[in-house]
Amino acid sequence: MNIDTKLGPYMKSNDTTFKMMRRLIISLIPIVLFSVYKNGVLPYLKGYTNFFGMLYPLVFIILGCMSTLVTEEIFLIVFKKKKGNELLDSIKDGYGIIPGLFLSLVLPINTPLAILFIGGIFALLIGKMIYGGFGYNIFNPALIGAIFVITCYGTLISTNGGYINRLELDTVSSATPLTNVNLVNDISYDTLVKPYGGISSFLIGTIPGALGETSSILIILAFIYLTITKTIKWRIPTSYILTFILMVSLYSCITNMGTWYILFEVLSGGLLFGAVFMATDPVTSPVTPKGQILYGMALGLMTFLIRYLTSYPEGVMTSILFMNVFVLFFDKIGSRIEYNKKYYIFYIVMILVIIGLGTYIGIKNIPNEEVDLDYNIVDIEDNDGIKKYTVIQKGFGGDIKSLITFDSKGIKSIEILDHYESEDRYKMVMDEKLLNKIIENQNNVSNVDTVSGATISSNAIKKMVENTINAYIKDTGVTIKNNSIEIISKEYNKDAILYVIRLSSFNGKMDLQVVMKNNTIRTIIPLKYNDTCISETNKSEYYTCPEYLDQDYINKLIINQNNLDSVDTVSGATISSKALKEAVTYMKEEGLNG
Amino acid sequence: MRGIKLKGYRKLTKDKEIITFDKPKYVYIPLICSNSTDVEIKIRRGSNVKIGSVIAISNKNGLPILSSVSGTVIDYEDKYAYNGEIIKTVKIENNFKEEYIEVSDIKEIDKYTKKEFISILKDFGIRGLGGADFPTYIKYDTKTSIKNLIINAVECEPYITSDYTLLKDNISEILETIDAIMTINKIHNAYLVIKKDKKKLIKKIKEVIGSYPKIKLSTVPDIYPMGWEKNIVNYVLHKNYDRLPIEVNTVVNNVSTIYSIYEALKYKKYMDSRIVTIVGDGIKKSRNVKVKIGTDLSLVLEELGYKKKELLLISGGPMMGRAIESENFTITPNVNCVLILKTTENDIPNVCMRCGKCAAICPAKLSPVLIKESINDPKELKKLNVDRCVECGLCSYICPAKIMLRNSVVQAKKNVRDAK
Repeated sequence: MNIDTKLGPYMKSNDTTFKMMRRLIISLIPIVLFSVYKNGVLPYLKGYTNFFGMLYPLVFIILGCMSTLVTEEIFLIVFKKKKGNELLDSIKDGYGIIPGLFLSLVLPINTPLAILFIGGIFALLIGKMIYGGFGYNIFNPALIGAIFVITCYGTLISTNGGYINRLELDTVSSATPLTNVNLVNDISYDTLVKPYGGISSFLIGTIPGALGETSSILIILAFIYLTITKTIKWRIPTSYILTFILMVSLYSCITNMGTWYILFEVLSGGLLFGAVFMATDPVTSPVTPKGQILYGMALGLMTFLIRYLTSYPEGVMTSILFMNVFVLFFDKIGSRIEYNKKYYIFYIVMILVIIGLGTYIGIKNIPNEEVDLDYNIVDIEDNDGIKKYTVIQKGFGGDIKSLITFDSKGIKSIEILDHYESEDRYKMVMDEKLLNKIIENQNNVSNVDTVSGATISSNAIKKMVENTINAYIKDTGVTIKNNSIEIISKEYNKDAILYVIRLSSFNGKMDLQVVMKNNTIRTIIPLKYNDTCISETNKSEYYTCPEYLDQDYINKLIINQNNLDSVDTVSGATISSKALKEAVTYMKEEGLNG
Repeated sequence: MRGIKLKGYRKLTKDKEIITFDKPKYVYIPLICSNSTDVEIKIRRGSNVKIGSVIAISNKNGLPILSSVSGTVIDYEDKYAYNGEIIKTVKIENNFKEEYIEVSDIKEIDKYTKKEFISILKDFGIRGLGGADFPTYIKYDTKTSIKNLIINAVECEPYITSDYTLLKDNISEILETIDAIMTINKIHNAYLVIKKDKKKLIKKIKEVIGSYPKIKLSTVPDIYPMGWEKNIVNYVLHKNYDRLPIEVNTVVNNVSTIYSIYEALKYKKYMDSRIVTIVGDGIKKSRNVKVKIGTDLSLVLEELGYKKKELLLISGGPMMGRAIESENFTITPNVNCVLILKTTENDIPNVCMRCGKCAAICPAKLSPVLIKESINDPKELKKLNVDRCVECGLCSYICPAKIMLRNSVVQAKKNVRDAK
C-alpha cells in the first residue's frame, strides 16, 4: 500500500503569488503606454523633440526596472551565494522589477537617468534587502527610492525641468497643478484648473506630473481590474480616497469652493496612483480587513494635513511611508476588533478627528468678510444690465446717501443724494474730484488718497463704494476690471499678439507695448510716459527712468508673471511700479479671456 | 458573511443509484465517541450481540456505542478512523440474522414528553452526523427556551451528496420528525435549509411541505462554508451569536441526525447504517453507498472498482477532511464521504507577501497569517481568538503562496490548550 499522505485541504485555489504579480504588471501596462504617448510620442508629433526624445519615457521606465532587478540579482549572487536556476527563478518571479517600475513611474520625467539608477539601487538595498528581502521589508521600497531621489537631488531635477515635458514647457504652464496651489494667490477654477484645460484633462492625464501619476481614468480602471481579480487590498484605496474626499468636501463647503475643487484635489498630486498602487503594496500594508480600512483613513487624514498645513508637495508619498511604520499597530487593532468591540474606539476617534480637522482647517481659511455695520443697502434697481444701488454709509455728521450705478464695465457713476457733512468738508471732497478718482480706480478703491482735512468723510465715501462693489460682485459674479487700463491696439503676428496698452500712473498716462504668446507675456517695452524721477541732468519728456522703470524690474515681472506677489515694489517709485504690476495682472487676465 | 464558491464536483454522484452494502462479514465498531476514546467496554470476546446492543459507554458524556449487526464479538483490532488516527475497534462476526434488541413503550412519534425524548436521544447514542460527532441530546437538554430549529441540509463541501441523497428519498420521514421534535420541545419555527441550486429537490419538498405549516423551506447560496452553523443562523435568522446557537434560542441539526432521530423515535431502532459518498478521480464508480456502521472501507472500495496505486484517501470532504494512510479504515456514523484522489505534487510554499487574503476570507474572522507568526506565543494567540477557528481550510485554500495556514492555526490551538 503506497498512499501519499499530505496535509489538507485537498483543493487549492489556482491563484499564485506569481500570477498576482503578473496581474499587477498587466494593470500598469496602459499607464506606461499612456505615459510614453504623453511624454514621448505627442511632443515628437508636434515637433518638440527628436526620435530619441520620443523613446525617452520608455527608456526611462525600462532603466528603472533594470536598476532594481540588477541590484537584486547582484545582491543574491554576492551575499546569498545563489547560482544558476535559483537566480533564474528570482528573475522570473518578477519581484525585482516591481520596485523599479514604480520608482520610474513616480519620479519626474526630467530626473537624470543616472540618478534614477542610483534611486533604484537605494530603493532595493535600503528599502528591501537589508530587511531580508521580499516579504520582510517595512517600508515601500519604491517610495524609499523616490523620497531619496527627491530630497537629495530635487533642486537638480527641477533645474533640469522637473515634471514638465518638452511639450508642456511651451504650452501649459510652469508647474504641476498641486504646486500651483502654493503659487497662485487666489485659489479658483480659473487659476488652478483652466490653465490645464479643465477637469477632463485631469481625468485623461494631459497635465504635468510624474510619469505614471497623471491619468486618473487609467488608474481607476486598473483599480477596478485589480479589485475584481482580487489582486490588491481594495479596502485601503477606498477608505483612503473616501476619507480624503470627506475632508476636502468639508473644507470646500466651508470655504465655498465648489465641486471642481474636490475633484481637483483628488485628481492631482499622484493621490490616486499612490492610493491604488503604493498604499496597497502587500508587504508594507496591514493584512486584516478592518486594519486596512483604518490604515486608509489614517493615510487620508495625513495627506490632507500635509497638503493644507505645509507647502510640501509629496504629501501622498510621505503619508504612505510614515504610515508604513504603524502597520503592525493597525493589524493589532484589526485582529482584535472582531471579538473585542472596545477597539471600535479607534474608528470613532479617527472619524471625529477627520471631521474635526476638515472643519477646522476649512474655517481657518474662510476669506475675511467683515460686516460693516455702518453700511446699508436701501434699494437695488436692475434695468437691462444696468444696476442702481441706493446705499447709506455713516459719515462724519450722519448718514451719507448715494446712488451708485453699475453698467457692464463696472461703476458708471456715483451720485451723492443726501448728506449731513459740513458744507466745507463736502466742498473739499468735491473739489478734489474724489468721486472721479474712485471711479477711475474702482478695481482698487483703497489706493485712492483721502482728502486731507476731510479724512473721515472721504474714508466713508470710499468705504461705501467698496461695500457696494462687494455687494455687486456677490450679486452678479462679475469682477470689476481695472478701469484705469485700456487696450489701445491689438495686432496678431503669427501666434504672438502685440498689444499697446495705456494705464494711469504716477504722473498721468503711460503707454506700454506688450508681446504675448500662449497666454504668456514675453516682452514689455515702455513707449510713452510722464513719470519723472529725481534725476536733474536730463529733463526731456520721454525718457527711461532707471530707478523704477528699469529693465531689471520689468524682467522680474515677466519671470514671475504667475506669482506676482513675490515681486516687491521699487521704493521711491511705489505708484509707478504698482501700476506696472497691475498692468501685468491685467494682461494675464486679458490673455486668458481673449 | 464570508465565503467562496468552490467547484462542486457533485454531478459525479448526484442522482446516481445508491449501492447498498449492508452484508459485511465483519464489522469493526470503533471505540470512539465525540472525539474521545475514553470509553468503558461492556462486552467480552465471545459475547453475542444484536443490533443496538451496547458495546461501550463513553466516559466523557455517557453516550453508548452500539452494535450495527447481530453476531459474535471476536476480537479487538486497530483501524484507521475519520480523524486519520489509529483507534481500537471491536470486531464482530455478522450472523446475517438482523436481530434487533427488544424494545417496549413505542408511542406515536410526537407523543413523547421532553424528558423521554432526551433519554431516547441518549440511549440510542444519537450524535451529530454532519461530522462534529457532538451528542445531540445536549442541544435539547437546556433551560433556555428553544424558539427556532434549523435543519442543516446545506452540504457545502464539494463532492459530497450523501445528505442530499438521504433527504431526496426520505422527505416525508424527515418532515414528520421535524414536526414531532417541534411538538415535543414546543418550538415555533423550523427551517429546512438547502442550497439554491438543488432545484429538483426544492420542487419535490415544496410539494409535501404544505402539510407542515410551521416548517419553512429556506434556500441559501452555494458558497463554502455555508453549512457552518454560524453562517446558517446568520443567513436564515439574521442573528449573530458568540459561541453556541442556543444563545439566540436556536438548535441546529444535520439532516442525517434528524433521520437517526426518526428511527429512534418511530421504531426505537438504532440507525445501523448510513449513506456515504465514495467519490473521486481515483475510483471507477463514484457512488453513494449505504453501508453498515463499522464496515471495512477496503471491501466497499473493491466493489466500486478501486485499484491499489498511488492514490490519496480522504475521510470527509476535500476542505475539512483528513488523509488516511490506508484503506484499512472503519466507517463511523459521522463519515459522510470518502474521497479518493490521484496524488498530485505538493506545492512548495512561497514566502508570505502579506496579501491578507486569508484574513479577508476567514469565516470566523481570524487572522491566520498573524496566528502563524505568533504560533509560539500562547498569550498573543489567545488574544487572536484562535480557539474560534472552525478548521474550514479556506485560509490554506486561498493562500497564493500555498502556505498551509490551517495546519498552523490547528497547531496554535493545540499550543493554547497545552499552555493552560
